[in-house]
Amino acid sequence: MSTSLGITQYAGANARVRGLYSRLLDKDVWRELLSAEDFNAALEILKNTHYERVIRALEQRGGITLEQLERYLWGEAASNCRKVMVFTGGGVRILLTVWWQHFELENLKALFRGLDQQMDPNVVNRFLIPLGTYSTLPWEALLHERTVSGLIDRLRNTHYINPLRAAYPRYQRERSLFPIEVALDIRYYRDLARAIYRLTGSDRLDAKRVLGTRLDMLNILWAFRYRIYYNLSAEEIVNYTIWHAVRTDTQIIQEIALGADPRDILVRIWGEEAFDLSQLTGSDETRMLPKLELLLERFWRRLAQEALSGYPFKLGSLLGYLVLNELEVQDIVTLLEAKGMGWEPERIKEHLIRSEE
Amino acid sequence: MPRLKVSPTRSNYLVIKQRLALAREGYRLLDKKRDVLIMEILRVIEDAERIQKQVENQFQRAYEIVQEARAIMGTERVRRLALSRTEEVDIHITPRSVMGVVVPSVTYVTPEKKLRYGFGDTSVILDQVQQEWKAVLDMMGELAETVTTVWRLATELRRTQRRVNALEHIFIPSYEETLAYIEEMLEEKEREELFRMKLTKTRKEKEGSQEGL
Repeated sequence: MSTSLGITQYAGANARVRGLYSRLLDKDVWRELLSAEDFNAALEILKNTHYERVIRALEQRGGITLEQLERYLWGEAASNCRKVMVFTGGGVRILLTVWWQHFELENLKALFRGLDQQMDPNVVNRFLIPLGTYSTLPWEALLHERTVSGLIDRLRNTHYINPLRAAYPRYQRERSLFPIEVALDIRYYRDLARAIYRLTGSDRLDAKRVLGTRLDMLNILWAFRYRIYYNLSAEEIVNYTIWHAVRTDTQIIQEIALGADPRDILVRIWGEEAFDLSQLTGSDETRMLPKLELLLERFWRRLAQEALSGYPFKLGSLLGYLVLNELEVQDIVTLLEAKGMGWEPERIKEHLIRSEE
Repeated sequence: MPRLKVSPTRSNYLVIKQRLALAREGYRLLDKKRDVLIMEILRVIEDAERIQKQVENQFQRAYEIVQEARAIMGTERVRRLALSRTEEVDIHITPRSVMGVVVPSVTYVTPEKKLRYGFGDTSVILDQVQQEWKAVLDMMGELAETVTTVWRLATELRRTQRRVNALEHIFIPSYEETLAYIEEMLEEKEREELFRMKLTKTRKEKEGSQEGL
């Protein structure tokens, strides 16, 4: 089976991506947003962008809350992913389908959490990212399940069933959703890694560079979080991470588990020039971790931006756009939350992934 | 201070005298109790101020970190995480006595830091949120114990002070005045009796001498 798309097939996807990319917010809009007086002023600025459609739709439903807007912005990002997928096939389509599924997974976890607490289905429904008809899961039926085992049973004909069945006994013993959630997460990212390695040639290189970096980022962050905040043993940490990402493997994870410094790990994996390590000063690891996370996200954004440059008819352009779109939504959420809390622009900038202004 | 409305009899005198002795003894004991309560409150109040300040600072840190989490993840995502099961806290309250005042000894066991969510859709900041709020919880036992102890001791001190004041300014002076009054009246009665006896004796002697003539 051919896993790469030809130039002609990428032409359609590329045209779609170029169109969507042109809708991303530019420097001037970001400058305006940062200078906005408050949440409402920022919202007015966003109404002059392509996000106007989402905002107006919410206003017509009876008013905007920040939580609703956040949910619908993520829904828009999920929808954009599907818009790009339409022009793809073969291994690329599989890869983008797996990537898209992280939205579905987030909804599924919200469902498990609400069900575990016996919450009203209408309340849980309000937390779900709107995925429209793209998701094939029977959400109405899932929402009205009354037990975790019932919910798992409903998912028996999906790819979620194996990790859920494996994790359920431990959930019953410990009365904690952690086994279920970590099983779903690891299974998801292993599927993503598999989808990357199913590709060949330049497609595989692009996928490793853009989405593979995400796997490595998460592996590193998860390992540090398990060690620093939860004091897990090395064996447990290895068990709860992605064994074979792109540049990280169990060896690196073990080193992190045994106390490796974050700066050393970054240099080892990506080289000395990739990061400004002066941003990770100090010896307090708990204070360093949030900075590490932001440093990695900004690095990921740079890679995504670079993937869009050069020869256009390639998988890198598609993946680059998808990542930039999601990171833009994350930054908009950060900005709106910060404006709602009355933060100064300088403080907001410290938390934005987009950092070139 | 007004004296008691009692008849100035010897038996009443004895009763009031006994009450006065009791009141003086009560005053002595309550005065001692007051001193001990004051010392104990001064000791505990330092702890209470310290722990209260620590809790205030920790609450501030915890709320600030929640703000950071809202900014980084969005309120929606944070609330979605908050759907997760919360842990129950184990609290044991054992009463102990300080000068007859029952104060609590609180043993508060917060659940150990447990993994409650997968990391796939969460940021590092959420781990910090959990850490800071656990630190708040860890302090609540000590805070509850010291503040309750101070409050109960202060209430008891107020009550003791009222009793001491009542004894010192009302009952003891009243008994003393009553005793003085009864003594005076009894003396007066004795004098009158003595005078009457002398008068009777003089009259009898006069009558006797007149009959002899």
